[in-house]
Amino acid sequence: MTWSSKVLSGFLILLGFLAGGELTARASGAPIPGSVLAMAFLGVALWARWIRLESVEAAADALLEHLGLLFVPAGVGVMLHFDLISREAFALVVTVILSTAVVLGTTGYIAHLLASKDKQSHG
Amino acid sequence: MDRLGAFITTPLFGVLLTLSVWTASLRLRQASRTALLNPVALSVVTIIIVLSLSGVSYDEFNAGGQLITFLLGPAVVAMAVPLYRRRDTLRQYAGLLLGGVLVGSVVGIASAVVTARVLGASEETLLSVAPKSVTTPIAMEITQRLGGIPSLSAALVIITGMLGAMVGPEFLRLIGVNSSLAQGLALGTAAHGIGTARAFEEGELMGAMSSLGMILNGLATAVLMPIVLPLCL
Repeated sequence: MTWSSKVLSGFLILLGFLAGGELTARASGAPIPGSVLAMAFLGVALWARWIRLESVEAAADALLEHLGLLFVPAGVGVMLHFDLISREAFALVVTVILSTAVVLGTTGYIAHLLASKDKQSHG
Repeated sequence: MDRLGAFITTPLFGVLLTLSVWTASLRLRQASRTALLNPVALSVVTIIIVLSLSGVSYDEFNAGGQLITFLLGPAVVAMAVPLYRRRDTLRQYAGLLLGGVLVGSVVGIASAVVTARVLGASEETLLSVAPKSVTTPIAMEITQRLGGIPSLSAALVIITGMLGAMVGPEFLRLIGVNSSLAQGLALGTAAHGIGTARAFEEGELMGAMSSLGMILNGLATAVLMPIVLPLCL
């Protein structure tokens, strides 16, 4: 199969899973984004070898290599909220700095503890 | 002039502007060789300036922009591929990853929402800042579902990522977290893709842990948000 046919058929599989995830989210009323459910479904399908890695990886890599590009137009949408942002700039800046430090610290520290415990139990 | 104006409202305008600004941003970063020049932030700011100066509205731009935004859905699904490729690392460090990401996800939601609330932020800001440590496309989906402002989330997520990538490893060493396993996981969980790029500069294992932390935190936060958020409001 040529690269472009691989991307096309892989993209079709991704869209199929996306539709499955969206429909499941809607039908179940689960408060989880359909695309995230679809990612979990695809992960399980790859793990169980219902879907081969080769059949989706060309499309997945094409999308993820320039992931940043894909959220540029949505990001430009902040221009509609400059009023809100300038009104609450102080709260936003402090929240981002504080919360980032807290997440880095707790995650790193927990992982540090678990990693040293791992080392002990495996000798 | 009217005929020219009508061109602005075709999807071609938004797509062309986005792709050309993005390509130029990538070139500029390559030429300057600094990771701090984030191409997403640079592209967003440039496009906002272009639209403001030319008087084109966001809606007109978004006729084309939304075609690109549509691809975020399949891109989130595609994240199962890097997750699956790292299945050996995932299995080897399963306990570490699970423990770190679950704690990081809950602490991430709670610390952001509580801090913003104490500082008197409005409800739409609270909802938009809640998923700020999660990779942008998932964060935007979560915010959309909560009734916040997805584009504000995107901006906050990118700033969080840049902050984490700039000082994350230094901060972690300062508080005594020295193993690359723990540093990688913390960077990916707190600072998603931008933190992961920094982690890969520090080493392959650190990058792999960061990449797993990013994807797993996206999953965890999507699941935990409806449970943790009401407890913080």
